[in-house]
Amino acid sequence: MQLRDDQIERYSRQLILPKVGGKGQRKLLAAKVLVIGAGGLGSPCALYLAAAGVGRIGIVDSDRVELNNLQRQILHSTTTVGRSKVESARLRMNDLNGDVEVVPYEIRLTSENILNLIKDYDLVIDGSDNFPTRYLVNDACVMTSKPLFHGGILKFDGQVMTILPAEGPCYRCLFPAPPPPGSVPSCQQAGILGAVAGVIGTMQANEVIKYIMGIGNLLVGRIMIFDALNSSFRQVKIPRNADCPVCGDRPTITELIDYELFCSIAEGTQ
Amino acid sequence: MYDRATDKLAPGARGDILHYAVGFLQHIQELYASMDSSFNFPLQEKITQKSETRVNELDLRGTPCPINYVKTKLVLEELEFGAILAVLLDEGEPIVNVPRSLKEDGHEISGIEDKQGFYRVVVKNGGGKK
Ligand SMILES: [Zn+2]
Repeated sequence: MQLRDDQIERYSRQLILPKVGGKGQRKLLAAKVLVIGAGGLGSPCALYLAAAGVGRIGIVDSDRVELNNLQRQILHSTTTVGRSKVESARLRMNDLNGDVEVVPYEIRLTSENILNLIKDYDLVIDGSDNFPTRYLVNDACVMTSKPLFHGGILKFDGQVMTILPAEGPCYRCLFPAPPPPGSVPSCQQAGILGAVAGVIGTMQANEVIKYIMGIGNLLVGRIMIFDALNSSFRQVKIPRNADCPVCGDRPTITELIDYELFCSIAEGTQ
Repeated sequence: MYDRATDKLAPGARGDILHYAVGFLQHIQELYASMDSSFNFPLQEKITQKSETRVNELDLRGTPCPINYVKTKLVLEELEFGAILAVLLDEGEPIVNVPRSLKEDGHEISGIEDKQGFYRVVVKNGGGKK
């Protein structure tokens, strides 16, 4: 596959990079990634992936764009308020880069549909805003050995971690089970600074791009924690947990679980 | 050729003939391997280009920085290590920047020829296919 002249121009600033070049660009153009959530994290992540020329980007979200989303969900705009988020996302991403095939999924993820959805993709990006989806995505990715790019945000903090099943720890190695309903403030009550979502979603995109091109070191076996008020990053090493209920030596979770949705106010998705 | 390769020949001559026959067979095999899906052989010039008998030339006159450099990089990526590529570059910014950037990438500039109005830069590939 030869790059067209307009592609050489469009991607010139990354083609110039010693570790990217035409080879890296072709890998990006051939990649298929699935973004869970067209919200605060999914927005910057999907935009950077589209800009970089990732060939196929699936995007899952069942919500419609609301005015209060626009403070952080930069995929959407005032003119798309009321429309489905995935459709709004598709318009924006295609406007940015016509090389990208955007596949919108206006659905709620469940244990019934997730495996069928992720099987056509090389990797999954978790930009969800709630624990039921986060655990469902983690378990489905571990069970099918799909690379998963986790991101989470709350108030002024964020975290990023890359999960390569069998190579490093998964989300459950760190947090074996979701917190009981009511123990964590709901997304609506907690609030979030838009730029914090931008930092975390952008770091997820950066991890994905490195993974696709096979360069650098990924956040596997370590979690990056961002403190926005202090403008500081902290890294914590996490070993794979041999007692992890899903990726451990004797897994107790062998089927997907639909946890009760206790944070129903949509931040990213679902 | 085959019926002359008899015992009557000197051992050295027999070796030469055998060597020729093996080479000929290899050439035929390569030719068949390069056949496309509709059983056509590639044009002769493509084969000779592949065997590096002529220097690849990239005309980047009129292509601004940094696209000229990017295009050179993309071509070098596809060539073998040590392959020679001649690049035609405009005077001014291109001839100042492109050879320098190529050198930083580990390629060797083996010659710069002033062609009056443009330059012909000969690059020896320091990277290439891996
Ligand atoms: Zn685990």
